[in-house]
Formats: sequence, C-alpha cells, structure tokens
Amino acid sequence: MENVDFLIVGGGISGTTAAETIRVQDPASRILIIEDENYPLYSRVKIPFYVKGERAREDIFLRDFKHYSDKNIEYLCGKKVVSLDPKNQFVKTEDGTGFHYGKLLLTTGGVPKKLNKYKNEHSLQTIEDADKVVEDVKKAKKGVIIGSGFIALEFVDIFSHYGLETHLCVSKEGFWANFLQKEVSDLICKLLKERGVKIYYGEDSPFVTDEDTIVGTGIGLDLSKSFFEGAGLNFDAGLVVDQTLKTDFDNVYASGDLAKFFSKKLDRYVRYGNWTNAAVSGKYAGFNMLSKNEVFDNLSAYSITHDKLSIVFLGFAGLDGSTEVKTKVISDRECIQYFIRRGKLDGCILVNRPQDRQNLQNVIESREEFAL
Amino acid sequence: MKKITKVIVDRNLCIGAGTCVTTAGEVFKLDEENKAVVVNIKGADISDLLIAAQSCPTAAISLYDEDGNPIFPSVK
Repeated sequence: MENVDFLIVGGGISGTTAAETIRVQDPASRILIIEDENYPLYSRVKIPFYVKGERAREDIFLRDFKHYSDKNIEYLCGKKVVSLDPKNQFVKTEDGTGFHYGKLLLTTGGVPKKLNKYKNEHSLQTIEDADKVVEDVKKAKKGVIIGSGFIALEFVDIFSHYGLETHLCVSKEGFWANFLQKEVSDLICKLLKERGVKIYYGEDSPFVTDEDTIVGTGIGLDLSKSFFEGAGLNFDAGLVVDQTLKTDFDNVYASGDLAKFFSKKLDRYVRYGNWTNAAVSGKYAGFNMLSKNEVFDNLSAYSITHDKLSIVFLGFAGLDGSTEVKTKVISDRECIQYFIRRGKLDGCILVNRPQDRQNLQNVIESREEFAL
Repeated sequence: MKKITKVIVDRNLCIGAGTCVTTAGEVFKLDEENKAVVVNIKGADISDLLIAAQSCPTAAISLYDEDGNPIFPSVK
C-alpha cells in the first residue's frame, strides 16, 4: 500500500487544476492523480476542431507528461479506481494497488450514454472517440445524429463540414425539449434546416442503418460513480458537497461535473457539466484541500457557436416545479429563454444574443427582482 | 517568478467559453462577439492569471514576462 498526501481521482481539467493549485501552495507534499485514460490532459472542447481537421491531434493536448514530472505531480494513467473506503481513507485500483490518502478529490465526471443500437455509432467525448469519428466520417456519405444538446450540435457541424447529407433525430417535442420552450426549440431547428439539416421528430432517420451512414449520439452522460457506490457518500443526481466542495466525509472532496453544490447566490443546489465549472471548481477544491475554506459559488456559463447559430447557457438553466420559464423572441433569428424563481432570474439561454451575456450575468448575480 | 507584463488572447482560438472571465474577471471581459479581451492586466495576481491561461480550453491565452519571454505556454 502507498501513502499519498493528496490523491486526485480523475485527471481532467478539474483534477489537474486542483493538483497544480495545491503544488503552488505546498511544494513538498506527495500529490498523485489517477486517470483512467492513457493521456495527459487534453481539451475536450477542442475535439471538434481536431475532428474537422482544423487543428492537429497534438494541438488538443494542454499538458504533456513532462509537465507533471516538472511540477512533481505523479500522474498514474490508464488505471481505473474500483473501490473507495472513506472511513479508512483508502482507494484501490483495478490491478489491486491500494492507496492511503490524507485528502481525496473525486473528479471523475461521466461517460456518454450509448444506444448500442447501430453499427456505426459514435460518441464524442474522448480523444479515442474523436479518432474513430475521424476515421469513419471520411468514408460516410450521410450523417445521422440522435439526440439534442451541445454534442448533437457539434455532430451537425462536423457532418456539415465534411459535406455529408445530415439528418438530426430529436424527440417528438423538439430539439432539447427538456430545456427549451417550443419557440426556442423551433428557432434552433429553423436555423439548422437553413444549414440543410433534415430533422426528424420522435423517430429515427430512415437512413440510420445504411452502410454509408455515420451515426453520432448526444443523449446525455452517466456520472462515474460505481467505485464509490456503497461507500456512504451522499449521491443525489450528483455527489453532494458543501460550499467548500467537501462531501459528508471530512477529507473527501468533489469537483467538476460530479459535484452537486449549494449555490448561495441562487439559493439552490446545482450541478454543472461544463469546462469552466470544472476548471474553477478544481481550483477551489485544491485550495480547500489545503484547509483554506474558500466558498465556491460559480455561476455557470457555457457557449457554442457554429455557422449562424450561437447558444449561451448562463446560470441555472433547467426545468423543475419551482422555476417559471419565459421566452422573449427578439427577431426571427434571436431569442432569450429566462428561468425565474421567486421573482429572481436564476439563469437563461441566449440564442444568437451573445451581446446580452454580460448584462444578464450581472442581473443574475445581483439577485434583484426581475421582470420581463 | 517574474512579473507578467503582457497578456495576449488569440481571437481566432477563443470560443467564448469564459473560463478566463470566471477565474480573473478584472483582467478579462467578453466582448460583443463573445470573445475574450484584456481590459486590465493588473486586475489579478500571477497565480490567477496563470490559472486563467492554463485552464483556457482552447489555449488561446499567452502570458509573457517583462523581458518578452513566454511564461505560458512555455513553448507554443
């Protein structure tokens, strides 16, 4: 068994930022990252650029192995953690190696849900997913996308880029119907149709099984939690942490997509799955593993821009029983959907209105009464 | 570490993720095209500037010291 001062499970941007933050403050401690992929940190955000051939594969990487050794951060990659015993501060990897930790950060994110229904089906999360898309997209004549959301939009852009006949299969209710009101969903579909995308509502494209079709799926993520199930951590659609990102166990923290934290700004629990939240929560987790007790209260923001379509998500953009949703249509190409609770703005989705982002972020953060 | 005296955002790489604005909001703002711009280089300490650059998902931010040497990325 090995002893580690700071053990970080997950080597994405959150875990890497946490490790680097600790190292700046504490030059001597033993820091170990365990990562199940075989690569140093790379940018999932840049993957579509690589797939479209706009960036070289090596440009995706944000660190190299030497970076970790230069910083005296141990980086154990290609290893899966299979169990956690928080009472005894012990983690085990699949090859049976045990690690006793002083402080532990769980930042394993999640894995894309798969349909496992079609032969040429692809996800778009890892660099190996990207390699497979690069290989298959060049052989395809048609591209079928199943799902709604940011990944579905990335596939639309990739398939269009390669000149494929592009088919998008969304739910009967429309594009991203679990987030968007009908007029917003319809606007996005209209803009996609202008790009030549054929849209199917509540059914698969008839071409989905054709030999010359590549299928991209964007149907959500399953959080990686199997290794800590039964360990006594509080999991409720996210690993529940306090405002310092600490779980119910004093020396176990969570960050990134996995962490469900209480936002004092919004007066509600939130869980965000995006790069910025992962990076910033990693920084706070690093500080707080050094007992700095800094309150984490990031207001989420994420955006995507393709061709003539820009979408920005700000703050809490979700539907639940207590949130009122309103939409303002600004033009035939622009609209904003607002999420309002107890008279205050908790979040919004901006379609082709990036210029309103900062102002609306200020409104959300001000916690002043909001009326359209 | 030497002082950071130059911060450059490559607009061709910036996608408006806003990680820099969240980590060093006095230094970076998003403009009307949803691209990051530098508004006040003295608005954050070195460690927050480094985190902003190191966590940019498209590696669009470069930091230089007073001699013009790159601090991040160390080799572009």
